[in-house]
Amino acid sequence: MIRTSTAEPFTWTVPWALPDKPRRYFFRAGSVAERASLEGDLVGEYRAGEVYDFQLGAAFAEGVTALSSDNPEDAARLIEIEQQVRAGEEVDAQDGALLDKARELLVEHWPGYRRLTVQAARRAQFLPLLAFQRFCVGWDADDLPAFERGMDGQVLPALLTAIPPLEIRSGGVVAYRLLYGVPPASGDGKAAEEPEKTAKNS
Amino acid sequence: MWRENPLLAVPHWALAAVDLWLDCRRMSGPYGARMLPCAGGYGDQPAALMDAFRLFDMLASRKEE
Repeated sequence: MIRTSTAEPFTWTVPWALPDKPRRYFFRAGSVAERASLEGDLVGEYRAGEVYDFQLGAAFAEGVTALSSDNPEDAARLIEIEQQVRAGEEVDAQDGALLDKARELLVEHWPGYRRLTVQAARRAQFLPLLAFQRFCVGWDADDLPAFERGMDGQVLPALLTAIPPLEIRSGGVVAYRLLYGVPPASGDGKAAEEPEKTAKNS
Repeated sequence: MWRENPLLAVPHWALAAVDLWLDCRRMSGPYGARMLPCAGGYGDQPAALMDAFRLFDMLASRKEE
């Protein structure tokens, strides 16, 4: 969804909340500068830049080739399986198990591959949290304290501790997707088509 | 001939983005000066909207060719 304003809030209703106790969060779309700042902080401060499939594939091939130098045929076979999986092709259970084992070994023994998997894991954790903190502009939930922002315009860290982690995570992903105009994924409940005009506490 | 009326198939937010782009284009000045939809400079504009504007510009320039 493409928002035409950085001020107008967007309502995200928690899909798993009980119908008689709805929980809603309000997010605004970030600006060009804010998106750049978020991505920059993820890369620099949090060492959580995006990890692309091709990078993982290259690190996998490099590691397997180096660690299986005495058995190049097996290495080639593993690389082929990894490429198939990355391309979304089906592989049989035996090949799948082999690939899982190879990935585990690379995480343990090949620094280049380990670095990328750690980076991807850090991104998965930090991205929703930072997006939530920066772009949440209010909420409507009985059990949460009053919404408040710090001097930097972000949700106060102390308030974040009162919010269920799963809601920070899912809401943060919604906020991040707004930066790129990606519609909320199915299962995001009543993520509104129409903007919420009167965000409580915003 | 469209199989489905595009006005019904396209979500409102997409039409709003196109309308805004057309308005900005109409009001833009000479020598490439661009009217921006929101207050402030380019960095203050909604990020996804600016992505969309770039795509609209690209599609429009293709059509003009």
